Amino acid sequence: MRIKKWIAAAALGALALCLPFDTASAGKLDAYRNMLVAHNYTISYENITPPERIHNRDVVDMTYSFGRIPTPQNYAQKSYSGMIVAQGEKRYVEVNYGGESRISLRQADKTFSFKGIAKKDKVEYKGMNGGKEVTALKFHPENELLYGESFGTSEVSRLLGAMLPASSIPAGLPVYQYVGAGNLGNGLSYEDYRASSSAGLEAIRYYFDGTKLVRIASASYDRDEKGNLVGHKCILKIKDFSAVPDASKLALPENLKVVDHSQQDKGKKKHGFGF
Amino acid sequence: MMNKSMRLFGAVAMGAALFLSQAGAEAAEKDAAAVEASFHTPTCVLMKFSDDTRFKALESNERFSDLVMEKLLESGKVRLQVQTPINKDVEDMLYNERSQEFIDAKRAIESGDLSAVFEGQAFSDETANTFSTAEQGQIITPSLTGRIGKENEAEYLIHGTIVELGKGAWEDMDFKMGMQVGATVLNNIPGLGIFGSIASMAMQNSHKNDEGFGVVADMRIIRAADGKVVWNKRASVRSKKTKNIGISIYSKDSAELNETDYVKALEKAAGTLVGDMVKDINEHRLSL
Repeated sequence: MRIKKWIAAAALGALALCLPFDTASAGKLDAYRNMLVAHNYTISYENITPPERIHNRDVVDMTYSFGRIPTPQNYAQKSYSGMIVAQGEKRYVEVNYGGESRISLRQADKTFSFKGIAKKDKVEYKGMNGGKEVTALKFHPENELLYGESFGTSEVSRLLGAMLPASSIPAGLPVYQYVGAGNLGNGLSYEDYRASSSAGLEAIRYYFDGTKLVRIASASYDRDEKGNLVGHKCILKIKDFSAVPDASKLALPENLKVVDHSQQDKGKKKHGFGF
Repeated sequence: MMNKSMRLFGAVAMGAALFLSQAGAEAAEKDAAAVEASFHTPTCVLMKFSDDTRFKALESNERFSDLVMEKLLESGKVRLQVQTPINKDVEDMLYNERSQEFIDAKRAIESGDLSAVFEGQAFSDETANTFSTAEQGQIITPSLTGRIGKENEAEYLIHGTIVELGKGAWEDMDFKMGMQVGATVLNNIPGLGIFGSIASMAMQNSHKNDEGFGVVADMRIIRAADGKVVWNKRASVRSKKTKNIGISIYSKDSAELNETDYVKALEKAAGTLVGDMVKDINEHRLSL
């Protein structure tokens, strides 16, 4: 009788090992990757690790800055939040510094750059020169093919772009390889990716609460001008990442008047940071 | 019987008197401690400001640090342990303190042990990357701040960053607004007729352009014992002078910007930062 009980317990234990417990798997990031590839999403985040200011005495890397929304001087080295909404050929990219935000809106083959000033409970939209006019520039898809998709700032573009499949990443830019996954003691799980290139070494950890992406952390290491190894960290708190585009963001604010330079534009940018 | 009652009453009265005097002495001691606390002047040391601009050759950070030191001494709100800014590059000091951490972390990533990096203390939300990017509530390597504090017998370190320095020109919009209001008034005064219209037009076409230096600078106060940034403010100031002014047929150009204007801009920024600190101390938003 006792032996039968031991056999039953052993059989139960063996069965338990085969049950699909909640273990981290590489599949959790796939859902978000698919949203990015389909250009159908709303992403809202907060960057709590402001980047060091880039000086123009440094070597300027076109892949680093092209198409990225530049930081206003008054907000250099400050943490910021942001939102990206995409629906097909329409894309809204906002970087918000609290009192002021910088916005880039793409509608088919035109792009608009404007800013939002927070006043009490509402936001007042203005053109980049402070007036009511906003310039329509031509969208250049070849720039994204060369330098990658812009999700706002360079850091955010890099961390979100790292999720894209290798076939979507321009030649010469680092391709992040899956390293592993696991569970943490606080109930979160993670997936790790790593890339090594001439620009340095970087690892990115994507944190999940169940299947919901809640945080992205990156550790990168490169050499400064003196040859010393320097480390940088970046932490994005993901507030929202869903497959439902916020359609209200994909239309130009009503108070702005469009000045169309999209047909005259021959590669010269006017009052914008376009694509 | 009467004597016994009187003796009992006397004993009770004496006991009460003793108790009350003891309580009074304790209250007086507490009051004295509270008064002493309110008059406590925190000991600080001013570290040389960092310069994150393109113009490092100007050594603006050294001049700016001296200006901030002057303002701090004038304020009387802090006791500076050293009467000159500590002439050391804190970012270099921080790098040296963390260089082994970077080497170990890089090795860990290369070997695949990413949790050693991402779940370590350096990756907590509260840990600042550098002095220049440290925000209020964040912590800068306590082993470094503690050492500096101990060497100088200071409870707090004061440090800052010159984020941006530039020369600019801009139209004085207040002047323009004032002229437009004046023009509207002149145009509507009955009886002035054509003279009112001419004067109004002249005012509407007036302009005043200023030029000057702009400075964006941060200042932060760091508690030496635990490296916590307890206060952090940014000043964004312009020091302007009129470049040219034109009202009708009158116009005047001013002299070019010079070093005096540049120093004025730095002084204005230093005054703004220290002024904000004093205001926050006085209004109990900053407790040192």
